[in-house]
Amino acid sequence: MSEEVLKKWDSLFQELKTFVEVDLPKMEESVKKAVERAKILESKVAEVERKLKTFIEENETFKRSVEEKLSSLENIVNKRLEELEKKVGEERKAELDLSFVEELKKEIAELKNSVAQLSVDVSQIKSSVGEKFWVAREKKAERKSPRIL
Amino acid sequence: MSEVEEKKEVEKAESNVVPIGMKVGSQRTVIAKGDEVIVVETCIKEKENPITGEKDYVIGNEAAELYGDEAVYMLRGGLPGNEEEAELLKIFLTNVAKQYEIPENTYVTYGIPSTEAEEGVNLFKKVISQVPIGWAGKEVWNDSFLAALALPEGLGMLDRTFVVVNLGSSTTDVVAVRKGEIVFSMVTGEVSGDLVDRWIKNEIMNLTRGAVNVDISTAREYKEKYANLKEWKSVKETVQLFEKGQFSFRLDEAVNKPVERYLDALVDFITLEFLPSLAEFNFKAYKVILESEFILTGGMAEIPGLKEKFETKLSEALGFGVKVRSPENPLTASARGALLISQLRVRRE
Ligand SMILES: Nc1ncnc2c1ncn2[C@@H]1O[C@H](COP(=O)(O)OP(=O)(O)OP(=O)(O)O)[C@@H](O)[C@H]1O
Ligand SMILES: [Mg+2]
Repeated sequence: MSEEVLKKWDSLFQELKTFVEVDLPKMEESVKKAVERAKILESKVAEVERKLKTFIEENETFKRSVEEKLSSLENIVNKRLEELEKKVGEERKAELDLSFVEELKKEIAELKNSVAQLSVDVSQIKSSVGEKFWVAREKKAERKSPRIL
Repeated sequence: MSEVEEKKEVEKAESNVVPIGMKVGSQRTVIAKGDEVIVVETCIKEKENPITGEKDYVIGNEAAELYGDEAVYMLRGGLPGNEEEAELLKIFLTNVAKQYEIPENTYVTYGIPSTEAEEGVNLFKKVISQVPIGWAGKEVWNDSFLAALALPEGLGMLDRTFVVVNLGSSTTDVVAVRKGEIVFSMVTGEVSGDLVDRWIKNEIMNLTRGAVNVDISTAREYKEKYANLKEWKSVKETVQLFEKGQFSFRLDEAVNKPVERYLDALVDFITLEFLPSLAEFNFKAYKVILESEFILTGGMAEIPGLKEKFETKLSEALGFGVKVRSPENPLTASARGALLISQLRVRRE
């Protein structure tokens, strides 16, 4: 009987021992890891903010360069058209089929529109990301004196 | 000490110290000096001097007017978050002091939001030590608390029991005060003036099927001009867009719908988050606070009818009549409260 009890105690002791020697360090390790993860997360948040900023800046530059290119393209088309019209002369202008030029102009206008839309989308992404980020930062404070410094 | 310096020291002691109250907010910085109240946008725009090639700054209202969304508002929740923002704040405050002729020989009481972020407070402390005002002394208080001092009771509010609900641009601060001590406070970004601006922008997009996309500063202007929960007047806005034609929409709708959504979120925050947290934290204080008055302040409290609607909705949600008061000019209340403290200090010295 007492031997049974002893055995039980032995096995319990073994369990406890493995807990202390194996599980506890493991737990400590995972706590440490969790803390590190939290730190990494924090720095990631900062990184996301930074990236968002660069992304927006890059988008602006990109948008501007596309707009510039489109404008100069438009200018070139208009100029060529003028030259062409001059060469051909007023009387024979009607004979020319200029529908493709109209098409081209339309396409340029559409492209311009979609560039504008792109920047709208980006600004919305920006505001929604900003919103989520800030909302997550709710603070609670308990302080005694209304005087801070 | 050289003779000149000595003379300066004597002059300093002899001349009269000017008491100043200053609230530094994410969107607006307010300065109270005597009867004068100055409201400045807390923003800055860096540019290059075309002649010297050096960095130059345009600050405050001028920056907001000239650059719109390009001007940088360096604070969030009323405090700088890092060294870079602190540097911008320093340049901003130094320029404000110069531009609005705030003398060096002043006693300055600053108002900033309640926060647990010690880093922000430390950065703020460093900044104000570098700004050339407040030679006679400076102190920093919780700005929501200071707003209560702008009520007719003035410094008499120092040992009262009340709740301040401070409706700012980037955050809403709710502060429970018992006999002049802050027992509990919560801050949230989920209810804020900035969010309303974004909702207005989106609402205008919805009303015009995506055609009209105003920038945030325009949305804010619309809000400050047309938000009104007392009487809904129909206001029509027409925008002429290149290639897309003409678009009309109801400005009052675009503005007041988001404001109502904001009000509901505010009541929810107080009844579902602030009060339960307070009850959990300190039940006795919770009981006392429930019976005391709510003080509504901050720029968003300027909206006509907001206070009355808040009172009704909060009473409804809680199931009993709640008393709500607002200082006159809630946008500038904190700075005027801060001025009272500075005046008290100067008189005593
Ligand atoms: N007359 C007005 N009508 C409507 N809204 C207003 C009015 N005046 C100011 N506001 C709004 O109030 C907010 C600014 O309030 P306040 O100056 O109290 O904020 P802040 O202290 O700068 O910001 P925070 O507390 O987030 O640091 C902005 O959203 C602004 O658009
Ligand atoms: Mg504020």
